[in-house]
Amino acid sequence: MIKISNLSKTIRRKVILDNINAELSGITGIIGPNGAGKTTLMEIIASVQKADSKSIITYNNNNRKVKIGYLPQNFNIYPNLTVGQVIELIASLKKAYHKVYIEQLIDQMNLELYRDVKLKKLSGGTLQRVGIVQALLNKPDYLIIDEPTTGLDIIEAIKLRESLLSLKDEVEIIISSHIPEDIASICDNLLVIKEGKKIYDGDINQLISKTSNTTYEGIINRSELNSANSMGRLVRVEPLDSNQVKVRLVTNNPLNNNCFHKVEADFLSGYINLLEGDYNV
Amino acid sequence: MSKIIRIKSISVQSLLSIIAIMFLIFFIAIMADIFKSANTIFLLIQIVFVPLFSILVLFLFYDLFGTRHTSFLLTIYDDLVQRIFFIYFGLYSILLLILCLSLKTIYEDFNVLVGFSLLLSQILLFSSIFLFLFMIISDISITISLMALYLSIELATFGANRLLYHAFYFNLHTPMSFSTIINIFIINLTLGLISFRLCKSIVTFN
Repeated sequence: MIKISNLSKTIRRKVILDNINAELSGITGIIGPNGAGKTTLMEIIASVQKADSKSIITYNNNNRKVKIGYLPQNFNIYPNLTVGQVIELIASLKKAYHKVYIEQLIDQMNLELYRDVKLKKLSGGTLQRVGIVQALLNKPDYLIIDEPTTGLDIIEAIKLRESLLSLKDEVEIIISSHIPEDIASICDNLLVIKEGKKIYDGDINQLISKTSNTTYEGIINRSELNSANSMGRLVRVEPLDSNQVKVRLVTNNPLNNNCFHKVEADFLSGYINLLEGDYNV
Repeated sequence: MSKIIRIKSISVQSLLSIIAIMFLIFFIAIMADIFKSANTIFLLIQIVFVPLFSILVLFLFYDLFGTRHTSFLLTIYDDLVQRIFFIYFGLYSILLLILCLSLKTIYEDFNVLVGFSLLLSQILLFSSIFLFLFMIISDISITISLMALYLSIELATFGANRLLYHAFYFNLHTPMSFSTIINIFIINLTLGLISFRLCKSIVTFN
């Protein structure tokens, strides 16, 4: 578990993170809109950046030296080296070159076929898996991954999420994303930040339950989208044919409209309601 | 460390090939005795091999300072930046020493120790100053352009531009001795060490 107390970060008088307090355990997702301060928070947790002076981060590690594996955004640092060479180089730089363990990681991340392929020729998903291997080389206690699925197609994103889930029992994972599907499909716990401030910290299901009686779904004509939007917050619009759409909306006011019926809330409903709502949980 | 050096060398293998070819050309040129004096070929060695080492160092640390991952990679590199720098510095020095020794075999008036010391001070100065510039501006093409600009001005004016510091020995007539190069040697070494310290302070954050 990582305990964050009074964490703030100011860069050139601009407050990037403002007094964040949270406890991160299991697979924790850090989510928020673009520019919320997620990357800065991830870099501080990974000891890549320093926080302001009164900030405290405690790693619960039974008094052993904490080891952190970090995968930054856009891991394409060595485009002209092969997968094998990059892994060997970073393992040597980290003073963590253990051939058997490296082979095990390559196997676990399904990179065997790509060992001699240059990084510039890899797809985004494969590149991210190489990034995960480099982050795991020093057998970290915490794996910190920043925006892993940005720029990936849906199949690659799903494969990457599966790879991350396979590590669940070996290492505590902290993953940041602005894509709700990433968080909903992998994480147990959640930290939501917006404009540098924490607006939610806790269980994902608890967040979903907050919107359980306020989520509605219905089929309407496309021309009625504007009026539906005025009834609540539209969280999903799914085209059915050229005329009709299936919409899901969240509203705190009971809907007396025949087109809509109450449905079970999902993470997206809870998250959008949290982001656009007036309340802090 | 050998793994790091091997893979780093793969990442700069085109440049290493150029250095190897230049070395062979110069070695053959010296042995064939096609230049009138040691000073002429020594000037060419300075103009070619000093910037080449500086460019090699820039590309060796391109991952650290040319990508957007400087902070992340610095946590991985730790104290290895210095060690990698000095290993390549040492290997390159051997190359320069061979050239100086080969010069001595053909031109008896050439002083190996003087020539080699001057070259060492020059590669330290160039590599440290331009690495420091690269760390600040994070753009390798601008850094190399600045280096090319300095070299062009120095060559065009034959080391006579009053606004610039002259790191090279341009005298083609007077045989080199400690008394003729001492000023350049000391200033090169001092500026080189100061720049190296500045680079180190950026890498180690102190």
